[in-house]
Amino acid sequence: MPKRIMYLFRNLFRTRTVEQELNDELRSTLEILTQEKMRHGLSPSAARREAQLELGGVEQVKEEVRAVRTGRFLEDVVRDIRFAFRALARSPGFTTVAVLTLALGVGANTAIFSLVHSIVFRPLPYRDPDRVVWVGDTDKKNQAGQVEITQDPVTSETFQEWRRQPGPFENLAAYHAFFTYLSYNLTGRGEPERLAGIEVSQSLFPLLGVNAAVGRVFQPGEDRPGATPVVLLTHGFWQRRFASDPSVVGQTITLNDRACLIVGVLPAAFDFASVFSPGARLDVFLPLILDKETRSYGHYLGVLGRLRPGVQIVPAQQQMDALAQQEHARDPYSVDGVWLLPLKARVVGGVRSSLFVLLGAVGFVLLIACTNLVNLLLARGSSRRKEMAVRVALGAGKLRLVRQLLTESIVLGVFGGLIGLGMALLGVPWLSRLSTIPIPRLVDSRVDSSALAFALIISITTGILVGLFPALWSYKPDVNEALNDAARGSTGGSHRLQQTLVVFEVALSLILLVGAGLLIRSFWNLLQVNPGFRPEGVIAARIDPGNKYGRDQRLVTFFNDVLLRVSTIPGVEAAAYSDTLPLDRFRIWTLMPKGSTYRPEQAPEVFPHVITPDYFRVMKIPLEQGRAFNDRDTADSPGVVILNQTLAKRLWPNVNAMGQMAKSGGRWLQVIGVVGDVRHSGLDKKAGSEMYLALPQFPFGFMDLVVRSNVPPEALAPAIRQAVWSVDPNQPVEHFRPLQQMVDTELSPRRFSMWLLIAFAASALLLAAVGTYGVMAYAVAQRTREIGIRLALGAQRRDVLWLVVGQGAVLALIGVATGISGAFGLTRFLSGLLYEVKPIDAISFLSVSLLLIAVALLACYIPARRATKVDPMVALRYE
Amino acid sequence: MGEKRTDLLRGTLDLLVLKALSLEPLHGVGISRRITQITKGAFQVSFGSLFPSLHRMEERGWVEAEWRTSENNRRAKYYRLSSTGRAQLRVEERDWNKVVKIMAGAVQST
Repeated sequence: MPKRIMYLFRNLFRTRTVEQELNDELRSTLEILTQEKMRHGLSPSAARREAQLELGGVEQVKEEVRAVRTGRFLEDVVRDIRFAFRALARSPGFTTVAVLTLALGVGANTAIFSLVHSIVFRPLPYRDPDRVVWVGDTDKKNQAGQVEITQDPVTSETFQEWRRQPGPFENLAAYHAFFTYLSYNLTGRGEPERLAGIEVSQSLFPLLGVNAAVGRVFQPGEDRPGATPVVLLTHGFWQRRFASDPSVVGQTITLNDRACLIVGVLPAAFDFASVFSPGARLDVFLPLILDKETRSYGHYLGVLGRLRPGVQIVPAQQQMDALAQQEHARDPYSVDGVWLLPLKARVVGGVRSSLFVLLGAVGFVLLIACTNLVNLLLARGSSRRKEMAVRVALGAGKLRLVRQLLTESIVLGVFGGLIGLGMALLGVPWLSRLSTIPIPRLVDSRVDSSALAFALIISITTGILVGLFPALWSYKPDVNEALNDAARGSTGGSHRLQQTLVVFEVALSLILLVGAGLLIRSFWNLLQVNPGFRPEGVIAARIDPGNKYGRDQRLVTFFNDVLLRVSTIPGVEAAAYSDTLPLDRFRIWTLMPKGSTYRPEQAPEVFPHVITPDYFRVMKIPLEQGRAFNDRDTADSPGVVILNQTLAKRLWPNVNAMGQMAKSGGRWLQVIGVVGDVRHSGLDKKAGSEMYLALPQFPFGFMDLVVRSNVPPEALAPAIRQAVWSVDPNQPVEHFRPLQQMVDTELSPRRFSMWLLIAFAASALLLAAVGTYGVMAYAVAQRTREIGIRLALGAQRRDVLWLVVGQGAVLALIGVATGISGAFGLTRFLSGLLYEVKPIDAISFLSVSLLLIAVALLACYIPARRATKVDPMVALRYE
Repeated sequence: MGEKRTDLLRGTLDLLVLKALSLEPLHGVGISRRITQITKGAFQVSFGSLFPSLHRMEERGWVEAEWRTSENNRRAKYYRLSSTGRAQLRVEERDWNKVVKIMAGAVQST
């Protein structure tokens, strides 16, 4: 074998030497033969002629020898590729259209594949990620049939209880599930800054298998009450604030007025937020310290577990069920139930279906692109019939021709693929930089080696499939017929195929357009939803004084002082506080109506908001009954509460809720007002039970200042900052968020998939139009003579126009009908992404069909007009 | 020589070439003449068949080639049987004899 390899290299790379030697050998053979003939008595010239006769054609002999050489196949491939390049260069128009069509298909597919692969398929970047499970606290009975549960945090008591039991877990870790709501004021180092931070238990890093890039992660004991305060920096924050200076490890920084020792810097690749709270930013990690106080925080811990090696999730679930039941029996407040879910399923469960829909959609785009290309190649094939026939006549084997044509389409495929890959390489980083879109792992998306392989495979496969069809279809060359050239009718077979392909691509584009139409309608419906408040013109800023003022009157005074100064800023219409803004975070308290028959563990769960009097004015939440809070609702006055309509109807379905008494947080409250519902958990989710409490009666550590004004946010922000600093110069106010932006962020995942689908549908429409145009134009060109005869025999131009347009219209109608039946079957996969639109929506179906028919008719009209311009005399002489 | 007949003889050509080279190294013309001689003039191998066969066997390592000066002071490419070529010759002879016996029996059986 090594000998063969040696010859392979020699034949391929030292062709010159090999050819030279062959040439020498044949020349010497000729001379030996000539001498032989001369010895037999022939004259030199006669001997030479005889010798040449015996040797045969030198070139033929050479060709025979070349044919048996090792590597001949590769040589042919190289030659075919060279030939393909020349052939493609000869028709630059065709080549450009074909390559761009393929680039579009391959590019879109590679980009979406990269997203799906990065988000859904790539393992989470942790040690043995398959053994990491999400441990949620939820009553599975209440969740029957519901796949996605997002509100299932655990209480600190339950978490500690689970950790004490030897259960199915090797390790358990918790983090503050509402960490986007935490903030840490960095002071003492230049300008004060509000940092985004999270509290995690010490076990989190070993559980995930993450180590510090500089320094170390938390050590055991550092998350116990009374431990020395320590902090870990994220890589981004370290770069931004400390210019990647490794010597900061070991220094202390002041966070919320506490000196914390920096023990390490986390690796750049560890992006906790992109997995657990996409769209959020993190600067610091602090130890989660569970003490007496945290017991009163309720369900606020996200819990992760690492299963022991070999333990499966189902037995683990059963084990934990038993544990949760015991606990529930002992203390019904502590835990509802437990559910285990592979972490990845929990993280990407919400976006899987929309990503798969997008993947399906780009698959369609590629199919349409292929269809177009097949059509182009068929047309090109027909015009090259003569060339092919000449080659066959000259002795080329049919297989050889098919191979040659396939090489051409594979070269097209590879070129298209390369450009498409370039598009994906530009597009995916652009998509992944849309970091405010709460899609998990989007920021980590990239075109990796699997995506490269994917692009390569689909471009070559496409090249082969697309080339195979026309190559086999139209080259059954009857040499005589083709050379005689009378054979116009013989392309009828491929024309039928072309028409079928047009129907096919019209049908595919219709399905995509219907999908895009449904998403647009859903989005439109969502924009029409009344969220219950008016976000435009309102900005929010977090004010978090930390523990500076404790949790009593001093804190309330601080907040009120700031509010007073903010209210006097010119242009400010109203200002107020809330601790929970709409679309932001979620928590649950209970509210027990006086004299009710609820058992304690069944007490109605209510979403509380702690606010100040002007909150409803700022947010424009309508007051339906009673009054808002006022300055006389103080810590010492009787407790008061305002309900939303849903809660008022739920607790007092038959009587007026006004004036009723209920107990929450250990305090009796009187209902003094009822306000309109606010869609707090998302525009597509109806309001739940909510209540509003007065800040002086429920002082809360940090608040969101909301300000309604007619001044642009950029102009307002410095004034607000000054107002805060005039009360406390050390109080950072970093982050101003227009409420409209929060609404936009809420809608952004839908917007994301909607725009992508629109882009794909538009590409499909364009490709279908180009395809229809191409086929009709070709048909007209083929029928020039027929049209000429018709005109010569007295047909009107109008008749000719109808002849062509009518033929196109029939194709478009068949395509639309096919597409509609396909869409009936496929749109149900969209149902999870729709909002108040049925998957089979008459308006979407109808408008899309009309659009498609109009585009198809336009695509037919242009060639049809050209047909009417046919000059009968010219047409009749046409070849 | 018709197309069909070359096909029939394709398998035998290699054997004849190997056989021709089994005595001494020869150049192309020499091999052709030797084959005519050992087949008593029955086969006249065309160079269009001979050279591909030689080159194929060279790449397989059955024969080795070398440029030498011929008896008439001409440079010519001489082919020589390698040890694998010699082994191959024995295999092909055995196979051929087997085929001949089978075919002879089959043809006589009527």
